[in-house]
Amino acid sequence: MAAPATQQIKIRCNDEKEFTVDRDVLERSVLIKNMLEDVTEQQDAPIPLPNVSGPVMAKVLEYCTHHRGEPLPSADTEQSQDETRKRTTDISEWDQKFITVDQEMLFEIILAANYLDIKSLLDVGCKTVANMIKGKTPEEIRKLFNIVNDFTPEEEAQIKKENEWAEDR
Amino acid sequence: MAFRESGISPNTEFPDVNQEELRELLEDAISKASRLEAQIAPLQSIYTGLLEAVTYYKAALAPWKHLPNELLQRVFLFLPLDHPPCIPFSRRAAPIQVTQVCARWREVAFATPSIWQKFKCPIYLNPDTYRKEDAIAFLNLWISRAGTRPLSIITPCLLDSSAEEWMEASPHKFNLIKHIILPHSSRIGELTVRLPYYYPHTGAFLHSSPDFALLEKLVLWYTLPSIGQDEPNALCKNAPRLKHLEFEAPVDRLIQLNWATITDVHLRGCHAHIFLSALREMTTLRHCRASLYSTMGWETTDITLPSLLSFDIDMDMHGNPFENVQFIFPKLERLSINIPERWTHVSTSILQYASSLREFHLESRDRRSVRSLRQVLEASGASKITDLSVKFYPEATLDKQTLQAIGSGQILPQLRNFICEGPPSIKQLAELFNKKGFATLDSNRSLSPTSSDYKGDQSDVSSVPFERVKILSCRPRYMTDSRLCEIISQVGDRLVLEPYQPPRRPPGLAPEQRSLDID
Repeated sequence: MAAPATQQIKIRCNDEKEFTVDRDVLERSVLIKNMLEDVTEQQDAPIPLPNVSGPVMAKVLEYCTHHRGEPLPSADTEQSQDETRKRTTDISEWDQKFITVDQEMLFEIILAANYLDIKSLLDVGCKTVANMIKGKTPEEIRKLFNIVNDFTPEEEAQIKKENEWAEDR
Repeated sequence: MAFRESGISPNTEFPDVNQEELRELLEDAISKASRLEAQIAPLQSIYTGLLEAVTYYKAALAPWKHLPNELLQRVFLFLPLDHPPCIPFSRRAAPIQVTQVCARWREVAFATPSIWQKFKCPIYLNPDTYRKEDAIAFLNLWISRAGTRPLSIITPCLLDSSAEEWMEASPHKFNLIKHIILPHSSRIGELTVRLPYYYPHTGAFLHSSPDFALLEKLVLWYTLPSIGQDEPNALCKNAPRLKHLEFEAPVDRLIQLNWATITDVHLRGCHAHIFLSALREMTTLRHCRASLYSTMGWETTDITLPSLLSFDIDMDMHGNPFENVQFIFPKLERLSINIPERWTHVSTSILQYASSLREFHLESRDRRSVRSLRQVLEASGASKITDLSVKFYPEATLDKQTLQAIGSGQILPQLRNFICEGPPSIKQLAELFNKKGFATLDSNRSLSPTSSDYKGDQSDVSSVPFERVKILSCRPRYMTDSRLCEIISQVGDRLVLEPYQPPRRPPGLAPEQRSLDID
């Protein structure tokens, strides 16, 4: 007997770009999974995703396709990770290659992962940013992310005072 | 420039030229420069403004700005925050680095308590560099940022010569324990304290019985300067949640605490008698490591630890403290015994009721422990062992009969991995293999040219005159190429040498594919 065909779902991004994707791939997104579970009858109309653009969604789908079939983290796991903070900054080789993108795309992926509720992708994005920050001085971080020093004179004075405890002030 | 072409050097003796003409040229140049400066100034101002605008617009459009604060917080949670030093800190280290980037990052970092809960702080601060009051204020500020999170504090033990000034410490000097640890004791979840001999407050600390309401992990190393202070300490009297204890001190008495809550214990330099009496009370223990000494006070009763998974013991003593103890460890999976001195042995009782044991490691330099090994391995608890390693010092030798029994599957029928280091010699083993007829000396740990403990390359073994090249199940740590060739030549055509394959550990080897690592 032939295996049942995988259900195909249509989605539409905020730039009208549409994708037709296997249901199990899309269900990496808890948001979409819940939406699909709420719909009892098959609908032909694409699911609108007003917060994600086509190019970003293409990257997200690349990630979801690669990780399809992997167990989704439960809410308990997520909470316990937050509680104990036993997080690691290790990123698998494939994920590292996948997330090697320019800053604009990196932050767009993080936002999309947060909106679509794809915890593992959100973590890959946040770990990548954390790894970019690691070992850098505040000045180097500002330069890397184009951040303006907007401290008030009072804050500057406070920082100066704090830095009396720094070995590399 | 025209003045260069005039041929007049400004530094030579006063030139014999028309000075009037020179003055006119000078005034003209000053005038022109001044006019040009007036033209450049507004351009310079526009240029500076444009540069500022570029920076501003770049910052305004910076991709990171799309992140809401909760996602920025999530990024901060992935920063390496494993006990950063708080005094003195590095401006390159989290969490300080992110507080000095911009106002928003600072605000988000201060609103993320978990990045402040762990820190490392010396018990000693050089009073020439740091004022005590300032240090206390700074540490309290750091701790306040952790909100209600349990604190995790490490005090590294400073052994530099300047720290010996503590021997003459005056009361105004910084005392981490008095000013930080004791006032915040009820908030501490993990505490690692290494107190050097020159620290004058060790005795007072050990007898302080602070309120350790949240304390789950304690690592305590100390040396008391005076034997008179060497008394049972009450440090953990009020630590109802303590689960993980690592303790090293030159005392015969352990901390007064409720051993029943301990799940992980690591005791260094512990009297065997004290250890056994404490062990009996640790009914929820899961992992145990201990180095024991003394020969006195053998126990003669049973010890049942229903949750114990691993038991790692160093016995630096004469005799066997477990001789008459019946251990009942129904879940024990890993047992490691190290006997660094002579005149100590292990007895069968250690394995009799360890019905779940999978791994057994024995390191010994005493013949008696080796003589009894066969009996130990024949104990009913040993039947499920899959990993066995025995390491012997020169005085100890694994007897041929035991080796044969292991090799033939007569004992340890589930064995998958066997590492034997030390005597008998390779020659003896080689003869034994020939007699016992191992099909192959196969192993999951192939000799790897990329292995860190292998100094040669494949050409070393390729040069051995064999038609086929396969094994190399031998553990190459101590094995030179010549010794390797020796064993290969003695084992003869049973050996098949093949090109190196990356080592893989299959989930289940067939019993006949028993591996034998030798040296």
